[in-house]
Amino acid sequence: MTHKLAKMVLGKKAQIRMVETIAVLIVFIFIVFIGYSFYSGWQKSSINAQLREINSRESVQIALKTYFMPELQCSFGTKLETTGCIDKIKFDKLSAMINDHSTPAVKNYYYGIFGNTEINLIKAYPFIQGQTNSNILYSSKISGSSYKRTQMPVSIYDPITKRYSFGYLQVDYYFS
Amino acid sequence: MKKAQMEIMGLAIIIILLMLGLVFIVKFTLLKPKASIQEDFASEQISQNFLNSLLITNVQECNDATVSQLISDCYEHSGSYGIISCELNSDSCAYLRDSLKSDFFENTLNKWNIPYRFSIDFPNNPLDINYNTKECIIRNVPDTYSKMENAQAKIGTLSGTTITVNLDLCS
Repeated sequence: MTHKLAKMVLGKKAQIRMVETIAVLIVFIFIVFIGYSFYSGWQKSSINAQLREINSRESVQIALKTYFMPELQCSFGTKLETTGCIDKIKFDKLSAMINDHSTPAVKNYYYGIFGNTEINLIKAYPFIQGQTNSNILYSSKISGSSYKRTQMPVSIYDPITKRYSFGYLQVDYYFS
Repeated sequence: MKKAQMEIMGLAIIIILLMLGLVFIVKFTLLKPKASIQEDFASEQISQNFLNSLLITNVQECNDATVSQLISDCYEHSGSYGIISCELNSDSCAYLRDSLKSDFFENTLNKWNIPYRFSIDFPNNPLDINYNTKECIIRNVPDTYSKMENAQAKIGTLSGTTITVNLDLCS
């Protein structure tokens, strides 16, 4: 009788220990799961940040390429003006060439430089109400996709009137 | 292993987990994200290019004088009417004080939501001109902005004085 009772008590103790072990395991798995979800969330945001950084870098590079293009920079005689000056006549001519549908080779050439971007020259001063103050140099948008915008203040020089206006280059870099 | 040792092990694991949690909290909430390359570029390039372009721009309202000529004229003729006259019977100082901001800053820095401080420091003269956005009034505010980019230009006058023009961008 005493032997039977002792056996029953021991069995209950073992059951309690098993339940304890299972509870500890469940808590441990729960903690691991929370840790993993945190880690994967952090990884995801880190990858997104890297992608944003890459797109920003690309956008900035294209803005700088445009800014220092000899096709657009002001020149006096044989000297290139390098302090952020865009020659209005050169700009109009290049814009007309790129956007001329009869000469796709020109646009294809600049696609190799600018890729999927839209580049605008926007005149901020003198700002004339009711007049177009924005001129497209190049446009190759991806419809429905996001874009990164970079602005660069520039002087716009008109060689005919010999006057400087104030404006900025606006580069929208499209990425999917 | 004795029961007491097991309990100490358990406590150690709990402390390690709490520390890991703290590291995550510090990483995601307390530490500010590093400014991206675009923000750095914006601050560094925009400030200097803005100032360079601004100073050589011809102002229609003031007989096509450049902004740097207006600044120089305002200093040289402070207290009297400047040589360069502007529309609406105003002079170079009045233009710099009243119209420069709306003509050049409204369509650019204000539109791009970049807080700035612009100042023209005339030496030994109380005429100093300042434009600020309210977010960028205090210099070096690390709690609010990760950095403040400064661009500076010097303008020489006929009397040999040097006027300093500053543009600070907060980012």
